[in-house]
Amino acid sequence: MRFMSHPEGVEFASPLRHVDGIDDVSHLGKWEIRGDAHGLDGEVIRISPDRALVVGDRRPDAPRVYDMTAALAAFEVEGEDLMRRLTELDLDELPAIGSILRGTPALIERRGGERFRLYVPQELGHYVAETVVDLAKGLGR
Amino acid sequence: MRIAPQPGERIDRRKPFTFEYDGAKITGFEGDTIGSALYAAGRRVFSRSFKYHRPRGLLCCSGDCPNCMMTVDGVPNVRLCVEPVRDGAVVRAQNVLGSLDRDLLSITDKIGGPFTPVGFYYRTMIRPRRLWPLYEKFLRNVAGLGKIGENGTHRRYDTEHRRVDVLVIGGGRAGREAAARAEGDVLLVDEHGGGGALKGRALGIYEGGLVPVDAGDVLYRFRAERIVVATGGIEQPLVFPGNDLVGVMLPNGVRRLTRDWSIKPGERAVVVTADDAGLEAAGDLRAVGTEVARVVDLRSERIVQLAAVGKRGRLSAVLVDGEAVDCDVLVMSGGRQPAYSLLAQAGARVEYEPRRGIFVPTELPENVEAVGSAAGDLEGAAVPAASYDGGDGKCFVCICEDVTEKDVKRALAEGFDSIELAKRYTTATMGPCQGRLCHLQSIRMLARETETDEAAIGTTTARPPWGPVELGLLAGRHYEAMKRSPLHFRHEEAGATMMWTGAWRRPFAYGDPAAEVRAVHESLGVIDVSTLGKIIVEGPDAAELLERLYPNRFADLAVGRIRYGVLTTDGGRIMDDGTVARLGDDLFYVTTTSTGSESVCEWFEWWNAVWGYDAEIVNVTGALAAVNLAGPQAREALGALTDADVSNDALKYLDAKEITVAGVPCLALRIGFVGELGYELHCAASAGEHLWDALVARGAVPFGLEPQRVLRLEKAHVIVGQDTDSESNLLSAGMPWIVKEKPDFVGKWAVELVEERGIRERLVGFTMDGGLLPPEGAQVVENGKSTGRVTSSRVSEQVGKVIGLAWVRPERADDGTRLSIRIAGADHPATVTLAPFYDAEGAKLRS
Ligand code: FES
Repeated sequence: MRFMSHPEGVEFASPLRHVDGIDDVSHLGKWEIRGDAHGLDGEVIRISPDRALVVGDRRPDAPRVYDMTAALAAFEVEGEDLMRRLTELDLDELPAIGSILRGTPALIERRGGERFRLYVPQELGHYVAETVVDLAKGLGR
Repeated sequence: MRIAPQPGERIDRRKPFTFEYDGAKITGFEGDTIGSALYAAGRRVFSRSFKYHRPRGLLCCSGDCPNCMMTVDGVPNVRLCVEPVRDGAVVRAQNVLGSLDRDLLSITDKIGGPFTPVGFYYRTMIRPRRLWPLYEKFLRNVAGLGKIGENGTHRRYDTEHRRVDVLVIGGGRAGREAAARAEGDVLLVDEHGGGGALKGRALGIYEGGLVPVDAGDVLYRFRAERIVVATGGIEQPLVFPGNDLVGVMLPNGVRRLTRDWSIKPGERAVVVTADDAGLEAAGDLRAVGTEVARVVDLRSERIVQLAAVGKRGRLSAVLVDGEAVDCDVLVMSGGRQPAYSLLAQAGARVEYEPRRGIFVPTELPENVEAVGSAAGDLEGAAVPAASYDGGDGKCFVCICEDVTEKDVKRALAEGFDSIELAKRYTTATMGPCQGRLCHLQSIRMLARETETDEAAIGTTTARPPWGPVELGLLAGRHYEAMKRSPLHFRHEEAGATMMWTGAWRRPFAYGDPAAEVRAVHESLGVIDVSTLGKIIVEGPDAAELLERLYPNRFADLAVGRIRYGVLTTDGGRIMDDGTVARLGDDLFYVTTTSTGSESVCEWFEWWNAVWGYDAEIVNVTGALAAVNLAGPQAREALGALTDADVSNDALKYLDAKEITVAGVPCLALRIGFVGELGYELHCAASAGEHLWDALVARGAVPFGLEPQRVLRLEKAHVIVGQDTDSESNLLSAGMPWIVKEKPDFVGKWAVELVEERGIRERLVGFTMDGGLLPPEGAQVVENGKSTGRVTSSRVSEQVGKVIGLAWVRPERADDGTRLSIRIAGADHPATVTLAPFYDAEGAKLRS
């Protein structure tokens, strides 16, 4: 299934390319693992006992791996206050999958301190990023 | 009216602010509220009462009563006494016809009117029925408080979710002390802010320690482990004739006017008090030079008669046991009542204490604690009478709803003798103050009139919100989740007209839809179909799973081949449709409708689990961009962009193959939703624009949904959800060929049942004899009766006719049957056409 992967030599068109003021990391490699995700290299975010997301440039070595690099928009934001306007999820219990902006699914992780990374379906990425920038404005940023 | 600077005043006279009040410019200082600035400027009337339109003035200066509500910058029902002054604010009176001083509706106070009697909601203006439209118009005009602008107010509202260990509600002394004592993550909220407290009003206490706090533009949703309620006590009015006159105030009103804002409230005052608060107010008044003519301390002096008299709604004298005292200010204080509403809402019981004459909360829920006055920790006060008489003026029990002593008596006489009934009938306690200034009074009066005690009467159920809140704040921000295809911005750049389809925005057309249709028929078109649902099904049982899910065969599908599939429910109803491509022995690629991907995924996962199969179901809808390249020149264009062999032998109709197009690895599916030679190309979403640009550069004309709908209708392809509904089955939708003989599939039993019983209606194609286009939804009529409906219709240049799909009775479903279709009241002839309108044999698709 080479058609699932972004080809080399072609510019990566991020779903967030038209939103200003957002820390876009959508280009990061994202791999969905089905089955056991123990012992995999890279950053492993477990979603359920037999599902995990691995973030990293190398394709993980596992029997059932699906390239979700282009499927998920990813960006980072600063500030718990902003996060609290996005979601009801407990920010002390991350990473977690939950709803942001009342009903958009997202995977949220903390990147140390008050920095958070959000993964959202790419088709909703522009909308989410645009809204987050506006919510940040409401906080005077 | 402003007196010389006082020590401890809350205003900064060096910082003036100017706002507009009913056309006039009013100036206040920093620290003023709009209410205090207006009072300092000589305004005394702040509102007109709900029913009688009586003038009302500042009463509590605490935001507890309805008296100072006006519309500020288009937002109705703002309490001016707690609304800080700001430059440029536009303040308007509400509930008046004319002006506050001369309100034409105040006639209801003098002569009565439809609103005067209690219970008018339930019995006035009901008959005769035919006059209701008139009544309604009148009632709508005069009812309600304040008006919302036609377009609403365009403010931003945000919601913030917070977790804390301890939430303290109320920033008075008790609250601050509780906050200082508490451990962990502690937060203090107070309606007036200050002292490190978050400014906002707690609206209620819900399960799980959820406390919404109204902070104006932000609704905080707190989740607290422990909640401390320190909402304090509420100064209570006394009930006597004329107790609503402008000039009658509660002690706190006087305290704030004099101490905080350095305003002299009036020239001459009388004080009638059940506690020390009234005496303190007397001191405050003297300090600013108001003469205090008489002080009645109800703890030591027993009075029977108390009445206020006024001129044009403004206080001019007070009568105490026959003695008349001229005055323009009357301070009344009936003692304080614990502000227990939040506690009662949270589930606490509220108990009457006859000795102190107050209701005290008990049996608090585990996670809730009460401190200070809210808990009943109050200084001693006399228990005032349920009402005093001494005149024939109106004696108000509830000023928000204009409920008088007479109204309560009347309700009782009519049999509404329980507090809950009396509340609903009279609407006492149901106004903006939410019982703060009338709950106790209503209970006390019912107790007296029914000759029981307050404990027997009990309290009414406390419900959130504890105070008015803007609906906009509760609704929060308007979120409109918009899904964009990876090619979205290319469509915008090309000037496409966009339309909603579900949560997606898609191009309707880029220009003239007919020209786009022509391009596909004559040369080459390209359409963005990234919104199609895409699902990978992989595993040793993948083939078996699909075989049982679909009515047709998939186990025998060869690798590299595609088949059309329709999913049905257990009941045999059409659920979704799409194509299934076999990419490997254990690997299938399934497409669904644009709105169906999630439900189909869940459907697959559900049956996969039920049957215990080993198959992964991966929704890759967003991972991939997809385009359909269609037209007689499609092969040539594709061939120019790929090294792969795309000849008709190497890539046949219904073949699936991975090829690289313009440097982008694609899954090429040779299928045709539109009637020309076509390829669907699926690739990584992030490379979609690159592929699109290459195809457009090769001469492919982008076409939108509208031309696509014409093209597919020419092929009589059904759109699930448009041509079918939740009742349609495979037989009635004219797809019996899809149902294959096999042991089992989801919906098999239901399909067989339909076969046995016969269908009740059938989906057919039709052409109009004339050139008129029936709207979608138009009726198919027989002998003047509707027997069917049109689901799709378009003008097809290619066919040279108006074509469509319609549901008709099975008896009328044979090829060539004449139909009548009603368009704008007239019936027009049409003919049933069962074969596709264009290229019926599908030669173009296979060429
Ligand atoms: S005077 Fe403003 S709310 Fe009572």
